[in-house]
Amino acid sequence: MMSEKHWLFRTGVFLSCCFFVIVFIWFLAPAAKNFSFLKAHFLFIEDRGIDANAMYYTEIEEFSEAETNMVHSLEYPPKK
Amino acid sequence: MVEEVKQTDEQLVQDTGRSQFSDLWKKEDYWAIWLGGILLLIGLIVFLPQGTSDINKQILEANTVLETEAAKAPFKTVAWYQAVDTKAKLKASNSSIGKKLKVLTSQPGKWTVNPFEALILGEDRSAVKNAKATKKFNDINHECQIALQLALQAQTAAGAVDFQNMSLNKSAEDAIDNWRRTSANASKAKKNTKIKAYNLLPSLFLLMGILALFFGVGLKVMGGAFWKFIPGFCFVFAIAVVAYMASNNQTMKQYGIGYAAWAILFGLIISNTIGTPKWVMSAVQTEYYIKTGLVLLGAEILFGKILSIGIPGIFVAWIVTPIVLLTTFWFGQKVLKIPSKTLNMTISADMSVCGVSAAIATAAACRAKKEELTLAVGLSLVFTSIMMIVMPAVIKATGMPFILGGAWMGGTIDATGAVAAAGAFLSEKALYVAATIKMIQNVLIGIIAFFVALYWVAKVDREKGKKLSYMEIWHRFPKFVLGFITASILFSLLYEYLGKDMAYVVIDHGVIRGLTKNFRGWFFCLAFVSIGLATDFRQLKGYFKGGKPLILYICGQSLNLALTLLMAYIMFYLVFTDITDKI
Repeated sequence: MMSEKHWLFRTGVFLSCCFFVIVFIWFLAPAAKNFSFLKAHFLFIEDRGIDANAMYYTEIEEFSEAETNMVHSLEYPPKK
Repeated sequence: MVEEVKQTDEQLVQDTGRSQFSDLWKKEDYWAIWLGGILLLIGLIVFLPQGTSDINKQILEANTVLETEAAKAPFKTVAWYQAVDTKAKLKASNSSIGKKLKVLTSQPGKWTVNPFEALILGEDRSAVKNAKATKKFNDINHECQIALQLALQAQTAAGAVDFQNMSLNKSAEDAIDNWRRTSANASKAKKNTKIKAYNLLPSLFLLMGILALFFGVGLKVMGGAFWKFIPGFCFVFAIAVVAYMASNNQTMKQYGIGYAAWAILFGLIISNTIGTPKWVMSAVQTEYYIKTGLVLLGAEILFGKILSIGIPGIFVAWIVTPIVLLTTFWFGQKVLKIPSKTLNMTISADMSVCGVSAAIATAAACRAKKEELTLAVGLSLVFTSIMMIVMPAVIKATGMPFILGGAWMGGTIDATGAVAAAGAFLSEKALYVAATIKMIQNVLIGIIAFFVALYWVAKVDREKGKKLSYMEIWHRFPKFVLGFITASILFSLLYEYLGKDMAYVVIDHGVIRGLTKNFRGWFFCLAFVSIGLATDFRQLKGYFKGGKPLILYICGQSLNLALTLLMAYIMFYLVFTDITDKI
């Protein structure tokens, strides 16, 4: 009886955690994006398709573009 | 070996302190090297032959245009940029075998409202997305075409007076910058018009099977139970898939909440509520996955890249970073008196270098506890999201030059992706500088991991008063770090041998971005799921007491912000102004 109650409690906590994750992803996080000082920033990231959660430089295309531009800027600099 | 890991599984990395020849097939560190090495070799066999003479010809033609255009005008012309774009499109990963490997190793896709779109996207849904994206692309592309015409007109006007009129030259430069900005937007918008229907389930099942065998064989040779490992691995892999799905939600991508955080969270939820099933535990092999992932990461640490932005970038990334790292570590030990040296080092590296990837490498090198890595990842995530939004606003509000602002953000914002977001939000030049500084910091991970491992073995872990012999240091040194460094050195040498242009095609956008980077992501995700599944939240709570990790992070990051800004200003605006002019 005790262990069944204990197991039910743990399952309840597990389902509650899953519920909070769902609420965060579907409701809280999207709602917070609408704050005026955040909106422009998030719209920009969405339009540019930037992967802001990339961990290393090889995971994000912008880094390859940036490096390409920098390398060529130094190797083929315009005459001054 | 597996039983030893289970009994003392608090630390991220274990070592027995004695070397034998049989270690080569009995020890996890060596298996990480063999498995990582096999994948790197497969990558080289597949992608090196893609560097054909036709590719070489296209590179030479583009370089000729670059030389001509560079000699023509005192600014980068439209044709100059178009030649760079032509070279940038040459990628070995675009070959037919590259595309097949991409499908095999791909993570769940992006989604907005329906999470199942991360796994399956039907024809009708892809048609709806493409139609919506096409309308947006047409508008942006129209804007881009107008910007191109204006740029060409301004360039022609400047060329008509042989580029002697400073005002006309400035107008041309501004018009070209505007075209580049709209062109970048158009390029991104175009990608969204080409979404094909997909079903990732077969490839995910295939990948799960391949990885189960891949890791299972090593585990079996090391004395583990292969048939017990397989079902457990399937469970861990499934949680990793869910973690990737959560991280690929559009909103989560914008916030910068990546798979590492989700993998730990989901693992923690399971282990601290319904409990990690016993049959899963044989596949909870954090250190095995992390070490193999780190050997693959080694190949991405290419030392030639530190010269990408020249000397100013090296000073900002390679002088400031070690100073901040060492000062923060000292502060944590002597002032805050943080009980755990490994926690101190992991947070210091995480904050001063480049976020989660640095935390992983350093934690493994100094044998940090899983909870300590979890805490470092959590701190990094929170502050990255804040800095990604606040720093561009501060830079704009203070009227800071965008090159300086980009260098500042590149050297201080932890997460690589967040650096790109913040840099691009300012301007393309800020993005280029920010991204390059961060990339140079990324390369620093190898050196830091090596010296942290050496310091820990030679100084921290030895008994007081006892001097360690070189053999003893060798016995205790985490061998996977050698695989990590060797991969880095070999690939760096290969990169230089091939030359920048061909190496970009077959190494950057072949072996690395076409194969090993994807596997490395999966291995780290499996490791973070394992960390979560094996962590008791009560153990994690203890680290928050007194708030010392948070104080350490804030103080260290404050020093990082001040020193990086100072060094960036000195290097880019006082000492190497000629390099700044070329950017």
